[in-house]
Amino acid sequence: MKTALCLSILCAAAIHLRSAETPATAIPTSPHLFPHLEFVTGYSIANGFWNYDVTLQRTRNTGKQQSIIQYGCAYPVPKLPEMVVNGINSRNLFLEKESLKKWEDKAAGSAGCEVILNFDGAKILFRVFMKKDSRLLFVRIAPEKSSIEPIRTIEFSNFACINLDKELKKRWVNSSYAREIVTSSRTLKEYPRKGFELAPEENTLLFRDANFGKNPVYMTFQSDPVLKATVINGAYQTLKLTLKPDLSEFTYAFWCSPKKTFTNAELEALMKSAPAFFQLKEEKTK
Amino acid sequence: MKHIPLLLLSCIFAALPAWASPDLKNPALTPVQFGKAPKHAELRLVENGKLNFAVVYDKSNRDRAFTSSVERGALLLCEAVEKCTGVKPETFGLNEVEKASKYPYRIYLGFNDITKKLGADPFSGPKQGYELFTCPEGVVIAGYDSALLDRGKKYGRLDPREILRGTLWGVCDFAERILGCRWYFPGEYGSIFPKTVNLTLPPVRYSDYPRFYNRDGCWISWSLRDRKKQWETLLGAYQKETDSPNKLIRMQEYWRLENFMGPKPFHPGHDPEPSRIMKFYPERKKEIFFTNESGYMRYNPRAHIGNDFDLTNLKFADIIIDAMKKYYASEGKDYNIWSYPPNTHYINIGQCDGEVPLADMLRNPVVKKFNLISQADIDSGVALRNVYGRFLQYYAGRVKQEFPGLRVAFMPYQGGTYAPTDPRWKLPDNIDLRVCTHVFPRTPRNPKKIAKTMQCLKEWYEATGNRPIDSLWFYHIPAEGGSPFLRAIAAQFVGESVKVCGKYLGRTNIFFDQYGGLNWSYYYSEYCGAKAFWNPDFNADAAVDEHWEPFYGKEAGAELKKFHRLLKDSYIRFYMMNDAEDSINPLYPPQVINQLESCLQKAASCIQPGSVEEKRFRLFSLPWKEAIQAQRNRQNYIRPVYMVYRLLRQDAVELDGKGQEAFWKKLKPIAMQDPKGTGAKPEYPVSVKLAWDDTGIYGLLEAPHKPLADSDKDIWHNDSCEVFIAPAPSAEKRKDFYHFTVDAFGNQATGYRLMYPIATPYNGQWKSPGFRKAVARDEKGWSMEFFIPFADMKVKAPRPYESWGMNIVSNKLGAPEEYMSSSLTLANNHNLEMFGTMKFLGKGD
Repeated sequence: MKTALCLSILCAAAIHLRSAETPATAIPTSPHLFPHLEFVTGYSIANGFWNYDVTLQRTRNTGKQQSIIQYGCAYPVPKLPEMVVNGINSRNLFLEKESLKKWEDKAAGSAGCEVILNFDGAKILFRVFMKKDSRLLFVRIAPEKSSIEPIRTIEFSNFACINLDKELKKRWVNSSYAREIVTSSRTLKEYPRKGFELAPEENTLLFRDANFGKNPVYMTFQSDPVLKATVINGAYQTLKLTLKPDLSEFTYAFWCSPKKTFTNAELEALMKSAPAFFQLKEEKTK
Repeated sequence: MKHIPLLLLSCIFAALPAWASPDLKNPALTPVQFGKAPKHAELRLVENGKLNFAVVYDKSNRDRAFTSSVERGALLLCEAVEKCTGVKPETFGLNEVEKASKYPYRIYLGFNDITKKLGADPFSGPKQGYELFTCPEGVVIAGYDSALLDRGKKYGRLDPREILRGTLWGVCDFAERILGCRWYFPGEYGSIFPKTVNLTLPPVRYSDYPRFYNRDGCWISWSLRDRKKQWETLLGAYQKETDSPNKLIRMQEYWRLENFMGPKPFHPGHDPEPSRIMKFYPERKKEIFFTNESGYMRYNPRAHIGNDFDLTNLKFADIIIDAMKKYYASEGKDYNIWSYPPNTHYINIGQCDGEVPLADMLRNPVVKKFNLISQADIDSGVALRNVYGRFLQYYAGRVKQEFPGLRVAFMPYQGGTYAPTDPRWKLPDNIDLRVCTHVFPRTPRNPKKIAKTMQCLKEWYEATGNRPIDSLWFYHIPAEGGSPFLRAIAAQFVGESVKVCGKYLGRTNIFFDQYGGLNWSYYYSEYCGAKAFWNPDFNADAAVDEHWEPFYGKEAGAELKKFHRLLKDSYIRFYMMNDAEDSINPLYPPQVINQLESCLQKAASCIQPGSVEEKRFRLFSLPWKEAIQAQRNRQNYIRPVYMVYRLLRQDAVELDGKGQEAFWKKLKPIAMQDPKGTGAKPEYPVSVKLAWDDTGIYGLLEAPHKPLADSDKDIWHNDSCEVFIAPAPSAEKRKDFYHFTVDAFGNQATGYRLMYPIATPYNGQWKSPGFRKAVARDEKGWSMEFFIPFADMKVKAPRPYESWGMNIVSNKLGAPEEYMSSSLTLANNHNLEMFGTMKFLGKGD
């Protein structure tokens, strides 16, 4: 009996270890080119546990609306983080299809894609990737050495959009939902316009809706490079960060489940059973 | 047994040829006035292929005015009969009638003693009219031929002879109505001559006359002169002056049109001609041309455009009167300051083809002193009506005094298109008008679209003493910038346009400006337009529908009939009756385009290669492939985005026109295209590149072809590059544009136009003091560098990644010409909505 138990534990550990060691891979995809887009490109990033599809696309210049760059993921996190550097928004930058390139660190088992964003001379590397031992999608930004202008200000933001009401009229109305943002120390349920300022230790966030109880989102980020962190509750549950202009690097990550509907309880159980998969584990990569 | 004779009789009758009778009231023909038919047996003019008639006319009268009617009528008739029957009729003079009597019948042409005895009386009817009637002897076609009335009269240089040719028109009608001939376009493939073995004419009497006295055929000869090469590629050799298969009759005669400015010598236009008046009155330039408050004189010695007469200055009228006196005294040999010289009937006058800006007029001291422009005038959209009115009153008054009997042929234009409203400027009664109307023949069925024009016509009618307006200037859909889908149909509405004008329109003339030349690919509509000058009741639908099958064969004809029906219905639905559609180049729904294309393809598949039908189809289908592609390109149009390089500190620009700075070499040029949307790429590509810094925009043009750079020509007649900048981030916020032009000689022009919320006239006087340019040029090409300061456009420097509107135009005017732009503006450079975008890149991009 004891032997059987030990064997089972060993097997489970072996399976667990084998699974945990699946390196991340990034495969180029051919996302659908909708009529309003000029180009779209992307990568599917996976590590055996989880996968995310990310895209880079440019909308058409219609005359009424100028062309913008969109960095896409999938609901409930439809977009990758947006940045405003020295007053310039990342969606207004000049990028081509070839700007998005594959990235991998085979030794670390990490893979994804990256793009260099040039904010009028202040260049920032924007890397999106998975690690072998995590369910999170990481976003790492770092100033590029080829910059010819310094970073004077840098804003970073992302949002979760949990909209579940099948009735179109109610879908975007707050009264259908009981949206919450859970930090390490409190649960924020109200909807003040200015949002809530976060304390430095509140760098792990759970975005969820208590009414429908589904499609939760988890976010975490490095605190050191952050000057100010704010969350705004609402149809777009938004995290806004003001970063230090002299940062050397900043890492942010999130978890969501676009393909399979998770309930709030299921995510809680998953986080309890495998907390390591949701950790930032701040270490520098090349 | 008793059935055998019956059977035999049936066989005999079956073997007999069928007796063909023409449909005299065919709705596809010009309506005529039928009189009481004479009583006699029907005339078997052609029997089993044999002609039972000869043609008789007065061959002895060699007066060219007479021969141009009666003899040409005989030629046309003989050509038509020969083509239909294979037999050329014999012709006899009046003194050879006995020889002609070997034939059972005669066709008598013209008014003479014989036809008079038979009952002809064409001079009791309207001028240029004719009578056609049968009698036991045959057929009489006798018309109002002025040559018979003005025999022996002498005409001077300034007293042109009016030649009226009623008999010729009567013969045209006989050929169409009785023989079934049709003439759609010049040359041997453009006509129908029904094969005729038997022709029986029942007793008939009818008459007709043209409703418009002058019917200009000039567009026909102009079209063939310019497009000879294209014509011959499609249809074979074309010979000038001899359009008919037998090379004797002119196309305009088949269409019953007359020469330009004939029969009446009436053609008000832009007269006097600025360059001519300056030849005789150089010292009086200041009194002739308008000068604004800042001292800018609207005088351009190099071209007509760019001149504006000073109609606030009555001394200008005195100068014209002075010239008239000297002109008439010298019998037209001296002091000819006109494009269309005066004669003993008319003196032409009209403003130059331009417009003095309202702002300049409002500041003019005479305008202020006499209060010539009121708010009501401005609100009417025709602010200068009383300015023109005052001038016209004075001028026409002096003409009445000094030249009694002479009519002032006046063309109201642009800001003076409407009649004066101020009772001080009551007009004398010696003015005959030609009013310019852009709504005709384009949209006669839409009361909203024609409302302003109808009001204009009413006001002129009243201002000239309740007299109808002599002539209207109709505008076709322009070839440049207009839609082929509209241009193919518009001429069919000439008749309706005339009728909707009612009592306000007289019957001297419609001048149908083809606005880019008559296009024979749309012959079916131009045919209807020409017929409508003869009679506005001409049934265009019946005429066009009738021709498809005989012209193209049964199957192809059926498809082209569908094509045409869809084209016309779409014209009415998406353009004429669509109140929201202002553009002359509307976008049609894709389904319509697809259906039109399908009809054409089906028609093409039914046509025998090498046949006459194929030659006709080639002409018919010529514009459509490109036009359909242009519509599709427009539907798929993505406004182009050009990335404007941000200059770094180390990028120095030396504005010498050569563009040798290193950074220029790294940049991609702006993609150029056919602005009409055909998708054609330039055959003579030019490279235009842009860069920017905090002070303004730099540009480099490189054109690697020998430039047209003539120092005697103005900027619009040399090779040039135009830059349009609309400094606003999105199309919704764009309300204006700034315009910078440089030609290969180094001339420059700048301008500004506010387009929204209400489009104002283009301001060519707007200056850009900081604009700099440099041109380098040799035999192989030319290049130009320029700098546009943001401050001159009254805007701050853009932020990096901001976008503005932009359009670049390249005009290659040396042969072969080429016009390209960076945006699909539909050949309207001011089409702000269709401008592309320039995105200002950041440092290091």
